[in-house]
Amino acid sequence: MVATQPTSRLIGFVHFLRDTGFNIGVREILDVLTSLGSDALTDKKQTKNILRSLSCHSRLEWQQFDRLFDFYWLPAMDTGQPSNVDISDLPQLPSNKITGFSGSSHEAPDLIKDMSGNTAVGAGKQNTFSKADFRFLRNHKAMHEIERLAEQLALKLNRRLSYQYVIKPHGSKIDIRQTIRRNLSHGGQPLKLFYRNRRKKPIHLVILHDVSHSMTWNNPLLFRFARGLIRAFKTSEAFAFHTQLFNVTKFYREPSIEKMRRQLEERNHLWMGGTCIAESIHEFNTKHASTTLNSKTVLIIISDGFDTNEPEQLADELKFIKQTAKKIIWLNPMLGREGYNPNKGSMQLALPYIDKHAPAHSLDSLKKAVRYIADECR
Amino acid sequence: MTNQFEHLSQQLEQHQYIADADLVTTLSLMDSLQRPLLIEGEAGVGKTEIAKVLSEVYDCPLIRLQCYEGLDASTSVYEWNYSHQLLSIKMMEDAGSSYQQKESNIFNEEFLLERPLLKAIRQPTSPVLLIDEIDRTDEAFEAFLLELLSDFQITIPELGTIKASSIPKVILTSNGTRELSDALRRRCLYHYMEYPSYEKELRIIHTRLPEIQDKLAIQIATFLQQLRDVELRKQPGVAETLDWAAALMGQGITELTASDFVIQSSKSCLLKTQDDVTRLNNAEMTQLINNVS
Repeated sequence: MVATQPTSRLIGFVHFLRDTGFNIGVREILDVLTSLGSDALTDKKQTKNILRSLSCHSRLEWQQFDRLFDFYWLPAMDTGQPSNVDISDLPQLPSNKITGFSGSSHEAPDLIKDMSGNTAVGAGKQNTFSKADFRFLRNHKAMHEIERLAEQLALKLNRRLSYQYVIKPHGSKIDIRQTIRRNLSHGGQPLKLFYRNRRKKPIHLVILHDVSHSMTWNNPLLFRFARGLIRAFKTSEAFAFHTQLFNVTKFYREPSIEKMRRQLEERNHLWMGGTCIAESIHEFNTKHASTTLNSKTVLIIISDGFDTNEPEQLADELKFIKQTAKKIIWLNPMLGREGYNPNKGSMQLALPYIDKHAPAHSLDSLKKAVRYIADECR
Repeated sequence: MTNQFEHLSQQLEQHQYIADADLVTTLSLMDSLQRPLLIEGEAGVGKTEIAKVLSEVYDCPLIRLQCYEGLDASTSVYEWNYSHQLLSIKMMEDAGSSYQQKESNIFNEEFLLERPLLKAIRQPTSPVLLIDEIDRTDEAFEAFLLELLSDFQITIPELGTIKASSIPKVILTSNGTRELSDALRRRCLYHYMEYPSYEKELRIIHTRLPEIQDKLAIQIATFLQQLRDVELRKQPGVAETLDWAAALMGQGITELTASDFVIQSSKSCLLKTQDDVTRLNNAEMTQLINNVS
């Protein structure tokens, strides 16, 4: 069957969208052809609305659709002249660039470079993501997926901690054993049913997140991880620091990632210059510790440990926190990488006051971190 | 086809819902292609309302599933009536029934409690099924929904697969508090709902509050557009606009001036968090009101 010109133009447009990063399959193409039918291209506005409804699957695609449509169709529909619509400044879509926090790349899709420079493709993507070092993710899709997984991981910690059960007379799942046991007084007749419910214990986390320039490569993922923790635990608080300290709890709680990023960038809370870890923690200790720390607090520091302050100062500040907080966990993206030695500089003096110094350079390491945090929170 | 869209648009308007052309198109496609529709957007832009209005337009029941973290099949699809089953087993003890007879007796329709999703696919006529705030559920439930959204069927291990007797018009809403999976998105048509434009908001005010003075409606719509430019934690939606307009009308106000009542009512009706109340003090609110009066 030979496609008519409008039909082939429509299919061409769908392919154009797909090349731009839209997630469109055969089903969408068939739906487009079925829905437009004989009206195809006769009513521009209607055609546009139908195509948008059928080809967009996310907000980003929805927002970009108008310009892509105009870019592709306007010359043919109106003037026959080349389009003057510029799509070069469109927000980044999956197959074009990285949409994470750390910058952009023009690498081909579905490629993840491992540390030795090899590429891993296709099957076993989940495993590849798990082991890939954050620094070597060069592809948007991988980046996007791993950011999502990092946040999901943090959110799952909440469920992991609420797996303790309590027996109640109401609920969704009957506990047969308890029902029989508690009805013994009725001769074993199950007159009253007993249900198993999850017990929710409030967990108090405080996160000190290094957003200095040296952490730029790690931050897209660790941001999502920290944000996941803050959103999972309602009473938790987050502070970002580079040379100064900022309370960023309300930004991390922001439901929209885009809005969160914009707000942080507007306030210069991201990737600024050097790192003064000790001074920032001192600021935390003097201004916020009295109101945020208690004997049940698990303090999580997310930092590579590169500090421009005196090593002794960092040790002193951690010692102060250790007197109040339950545990100090340091998630260090450098720890899992070759050539990094924690037994020198600031980290060497800080280690005695840290309950767990754990790597945070890959999804696997974050999974392990979730286990440590869960253990410490029990 | 254009007539079909226009007709639906008019029907929505008759039921006091002002819809943009692109939303009307999507709703029409949802009906003709029998595909679920995923609507994303900020809270208060009218996502849930569209399901309610559609059920009125199509004159069919609205079945709503409010999602929350921890929602599972027993709350959303079906549950066995355990108490009745236990009583039934006890009563059958003396009857000398075989094990197979007992099992077939207790796992039948009599003891099946329908929850919203099962109820929706067993309706004789297509209902509107609203799965509200899908982003609040966990991923396991999202995966569970895939069978329903693609094949309109639900599998109950004890009874087998139940196919929809009529295809429900499924609307899923999400506030974007977490990202939904690609698998779910691919099964749905998609629509992103923005806050209404000035013209649309003015039409909504006039449609929902037909007795409002023209000048007051214009001032309220202008004020709301300005207010949404202020960086607030929770932007006021259409529901807030209508609440405020109704509050002003209730006090007999026909024109927006920076009086105490107008300022206080604007704060209580339009601002929903302490952060926003702190962010917009009385002086700034007065300034915004003066800009439109």
